[in-house]
Amino acid sequence: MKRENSRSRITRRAAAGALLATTAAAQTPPPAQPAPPVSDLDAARQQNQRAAGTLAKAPVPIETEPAFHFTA
Amino acid sequence: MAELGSDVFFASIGELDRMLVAKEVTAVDLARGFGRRLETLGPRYNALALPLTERAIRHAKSVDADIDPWRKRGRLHAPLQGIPYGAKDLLSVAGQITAWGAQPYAAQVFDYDATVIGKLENAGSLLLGKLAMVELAGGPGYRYASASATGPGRNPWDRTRWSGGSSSGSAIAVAAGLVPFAIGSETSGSILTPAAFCGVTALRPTYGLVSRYGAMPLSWTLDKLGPFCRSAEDCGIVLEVIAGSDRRDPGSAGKSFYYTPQYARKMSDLRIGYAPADFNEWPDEAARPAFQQALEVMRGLGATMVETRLPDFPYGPMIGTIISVDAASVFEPLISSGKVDQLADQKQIAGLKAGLEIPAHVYLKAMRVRRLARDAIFKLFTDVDVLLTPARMAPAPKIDEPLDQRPDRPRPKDAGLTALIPAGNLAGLPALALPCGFAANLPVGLQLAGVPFSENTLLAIGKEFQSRTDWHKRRPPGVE
Repeated sequence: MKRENSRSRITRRAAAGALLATTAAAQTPPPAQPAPPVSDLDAARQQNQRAAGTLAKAPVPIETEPAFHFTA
Repeated sequence: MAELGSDVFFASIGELDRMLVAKEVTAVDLARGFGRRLETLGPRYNALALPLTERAIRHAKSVDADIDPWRKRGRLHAPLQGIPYGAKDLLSVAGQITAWGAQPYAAQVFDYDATVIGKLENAGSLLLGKLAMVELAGGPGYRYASASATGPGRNPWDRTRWSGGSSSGSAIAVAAGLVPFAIGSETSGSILTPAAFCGVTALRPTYGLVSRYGAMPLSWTLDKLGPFCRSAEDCGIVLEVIAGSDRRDPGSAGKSFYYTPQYARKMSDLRIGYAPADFNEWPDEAARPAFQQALEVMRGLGATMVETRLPDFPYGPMIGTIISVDAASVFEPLISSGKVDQLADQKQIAGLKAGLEIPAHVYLKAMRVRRLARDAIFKLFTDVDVLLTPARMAPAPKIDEPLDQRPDRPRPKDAGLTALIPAGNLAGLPALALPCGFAANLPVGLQLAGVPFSENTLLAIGKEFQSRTDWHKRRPPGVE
């Protein structure tokens, strides 16, 4: 029985196209993996940073003292 | 010994006084009857941290001897004589365990009484037990109702629902008729929230009016102690006893409080500030009818209703930063020892650790913005005498639900007075929680807030509201 040589069926143009496609596939970023779960500590830190960011935007006149109570 | 029935377990302080004067019951009867009830039913709701019934009975014997001569005059020497109560487990009682609701402090014992415990003892009130609480009064925040060494506070109206916190045991014990009144604490919402969820009346006093000596500190410029009761009138009676100057509390305002309903301002002279969006848009769909009807009752009192809204400030980031830093400082030894990891709630553990990292300038900015916010809130009170809004916008959540998830519906544009809990605490305002109806068979409540030291005005409005409604007299199903 005559064995069919599959290589003989690939033209140079087809091979070049396949190579380009492979290269393009290699350049495509892999599908995004789910982000690792944020730890509770990281979440708490992020919340504190968000609060700090919000407070930083609040205008405060220079003469405003903190709301502490101190008596000498 | 008189066998006590539900008419006694759900009686007001005034009604119990009358029974004591008429010798229908004695102080020992009350200590035994309520004590047995607290020990039997308290664990059903995870409301009890430490029973003190025997101690209360011993005290009651001496109180009975004191009451006897006064019976001839047809009254008691003081209205709390012989009345049992419970105290949140953040208050020290000499020689007894004070665990602050937290496993790392399970064996902690102080050798002195908190000032409020001493004042109530001197008034002849009988301490029946330490009541459960969220660990460390909630610290910088927690995710689950189970954040407590005694387990999640179960709501007497439905045990699959949360009681609210952090004064969980205090609200539960009053709602289920386990004590006639209880003492709780609030740094931001820990009195108003459980009062609303459990359908009881409670008062958050003006900052500094009630001494915090002997109470677990969480945030020095925010912590307050206050009563959970059956009515606004009972709150006035208890507040008169526990308020007052105390040199041992650096935050003490140096003021006393006298409950004077006879001198209350006429309702028609008062202006009640409210925001329509708080009643029409913000509440859970199921809770809106109750809140809207309650608003109509308030309108019917004869006061002038004035539409208003809170000045625009970052109340949440402000109070969150202040509590986080203060709590991290208070519990720094716990954090650095590693024992913080023994707490029940992972979010609370993380919040305490992260609080140590907040820069000083951020904390100071929060405290400076707070001063501006306080001034702006005080200015609001030139137009109104009190502010009215739902205490919580929804009834109690399911007991295993994460508490930090937001409702999945769009937020209304008008913020109204919805930030009144953090804003009122930041400004040191007194507030009264009033049961005002039901949503899906669970209680909901209002809050009234006023200028500092306006407790008599809040209580007068509360008393008038409760003379026209009976929500504060409702009893949870299955609790006889």
